Parts: sequence; structure tokens; C-alpha cells
Amino acid sequence: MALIPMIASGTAAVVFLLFLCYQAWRQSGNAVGIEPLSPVDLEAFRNLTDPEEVRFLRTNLLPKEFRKVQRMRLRAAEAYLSVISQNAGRLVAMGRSMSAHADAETAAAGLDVVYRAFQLKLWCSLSLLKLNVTMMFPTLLSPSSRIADRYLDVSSLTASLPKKLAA
Amino acid sequence: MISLRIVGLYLWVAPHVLLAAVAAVMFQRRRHRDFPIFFSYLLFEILQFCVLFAMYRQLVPVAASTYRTIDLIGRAGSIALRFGIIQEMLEAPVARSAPLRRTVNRMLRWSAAVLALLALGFIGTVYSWSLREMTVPAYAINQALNVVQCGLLALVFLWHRYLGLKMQKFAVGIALGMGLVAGLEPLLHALADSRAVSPGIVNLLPTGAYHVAALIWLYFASVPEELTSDSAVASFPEARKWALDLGRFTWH
Repeated sequence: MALIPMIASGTAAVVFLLFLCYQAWRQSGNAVGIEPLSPVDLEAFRNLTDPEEVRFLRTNLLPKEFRKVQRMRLRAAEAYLSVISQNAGRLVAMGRSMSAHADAETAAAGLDVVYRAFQLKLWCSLSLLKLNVTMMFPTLLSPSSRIADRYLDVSSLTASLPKKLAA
Repeated sequence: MISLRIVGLYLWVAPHVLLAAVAAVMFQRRRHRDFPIFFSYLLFEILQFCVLFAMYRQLVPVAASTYRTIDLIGRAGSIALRFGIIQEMLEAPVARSAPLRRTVNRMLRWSAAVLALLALGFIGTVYSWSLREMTVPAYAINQALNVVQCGLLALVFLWHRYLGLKMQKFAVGIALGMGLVAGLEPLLHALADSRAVSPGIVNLLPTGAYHVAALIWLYFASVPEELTSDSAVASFPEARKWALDLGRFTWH
């Protein structure tokens, strides 16, 4: 019976060390620049997560039809969220770079971008989780529309940055 | 043939000489400012070694119980500092923002608590077959802390991957070295349990792993950091290009 802890510990250690080597190899690759942000159709995304729209569909469609349509809408919203999440990650990287800028104002703006983009990234992860649960029970749960507001919050800040950087 | 005693002595002394070299390289390259806890850990390890070595060689005559107590305090200090290093690496992407650092700290505490529970569950399950192994609580605690440390080191890599950020080369080296030391422990315990390798050799393996870790740290401390996406905005044209990209974020 002493064989079981031995094999379990040994296997866990080997798996961990392989994981570590793989991650270190990935991280030690050549540094690439920040990828450009992907465009997001905000209006379409807001529409997909609008509770009024959900209510309208619920009252005008048969339950079976509603579930089918709502699942399709949720899948589309998930795709948008993934893009927003990717963009948020890139914004964190951009903000970090800007926070190290020699100009104090740009550095402060960069720090603000990091803070909000980081929050957006976390919010996106939580929303994706909720979206997946909602996909299982489309009649019981509705997707959160607050993510669009957060998105607007960060986008309004980032929209002001071109002026600051171009100044 | 070199006796195991001489090899053991070498593996005790050599890693600490290497640690002193790592500390010197860090200081010379001003890297102690980026990784203050890791730098403190190096100094603590060197100091701890000097004290214990002096006691061992009877340069400072003390009772065996005093030696054991100081050794235990040293080990506890090393473990605490290693957790501090992990925190330092997790905080690195958001180091300039105090609220985000607090968020990361909360995440670290929760992750550590969950990992500790999982580790205790794992150790309890695998050793429930041989309760004899669990009679020494220190053994179980050490194993649990190693598992937690391994889990948190994995989290450091996943965290950077999640944020899409590249780690500094030196941070990769620190994580790799620490992971090697913490991750090999269960394998060494498994080897010791199997009795396939002589206990004398198995006892040398942890110090051997530490020697390799010190070499990894020395290598990564010496390697120059390349300019990554995390560095400051390199030029005005680049900043303008970003500004244009940022505009696309709100595309309708």
C-alpha cells in the first residue's frame, strides 16, 4: 500500500516540473510588441445583453423557441466578451508601458488605464462564467448588461488618451 | 572515490557561495530594487548558512538543541520569505497601483488557503494507507507547504498568461529555481519511501536540487533583460500608433 503515496507524489512532482519547464520556455520566447486591439461592435453587444430585449423575446416566443434563440444570442455575446477580454489584457500591457513614461501626466493616465482595464478583465472573466451558467438555464437567468457600462467606462478613458499622447 | 560526506559538505557550502554571487550580480545590476524580497531571501539564506556552519564546525560551541532550534527558525524564515517572493512576482504586473496590489494580495490569500486545504486533503488521502508516515506533523506540514508553494508558482505563470504579459527573464528564473526545489521534494520523498536508492544519496538530492536552483538564479541574474512590451513607451511614433489602436476599441 505504500506504493500508492509514492506513485501519487512522484507523478504530481513530475507533472508540476514539466508544467514549470513548459511555462518557462513559453515565457523565455522572443518578446513581441503589443498586438493591436480588435474592433468591437458595442451597440450589438449592448443589444445582446439588454434585459428589455430578453423580456420582449420571452413574452413573444414559445418557451422552446425562446431557449433556442436565447442560447444563440448568448453564444454571440460570449464571442464579444472574449474579444473585450483580450482587448482589456492588451490595454493592461499598454497602460503599464505608459505608466513608465517620462511625462508625469501620461504616466498617471497609463496607471488609470491599467487599473480600469484590469477591473474590466476580471469583470469579463466573471461575466463569461455567468454567461456559461445562463446558457444552461436560459429561462431562469439573464446575462448581465453591466459589462457594457464597464466597457463604456474604460472606452471613454481610452478615447481621451489619443489626445493626451498626440499633445 | 569521493565519500558521501565530502559531497554532502560541498552541496551544503557551494549553493550558498552561488547565492552570494547572485546577490552581488543583483546589486551590481540594480535588480535588488525590482525584487527586494528575493534579495532579502538571498541575504537571509547566506546569514543562516554562516551561523549554522559556524556552529557545525564548532567555531561557536553550542548545544545540539540550540543548533536544532536555530535551524528550525531559519527554515521557518526561509518558507515565509519564499511566500513573500511569490507575492512579489504576482504583484509585479500591477506594482505601481496600490488598489490593484490589494486585489492581488486578496487573491493570493484565498488561493493559498484553497491550496492549503487541497494539499492537506491530498496528503491525508495518499498517506491514509500508511498512518505511520503521518506521525511526525512537521513532515506533513512541510509537504503541505511545498504543495501550496508549487500551486502558487503555477499561479504566477498562469496569472501573467491571463493578463497577456511577459514576465521578466529574471522572474522566470526565480520561479523556475523555486519550483525545482519545492517540486522535487515530493519526488524525493517518493524515492526515499521506495528504498530503491540508498538513503545517503536521497539525503543529498535536496541540496543538489538547491545547487541547481542557485545556478539557475545566477544565470538569469546575469542575462540582460530585453526591452519588452512592458517597458516604457519607446518612441513617439509608437505612442501615436497605440493611440490610433485605442480609438478602434470603441468602434461602432
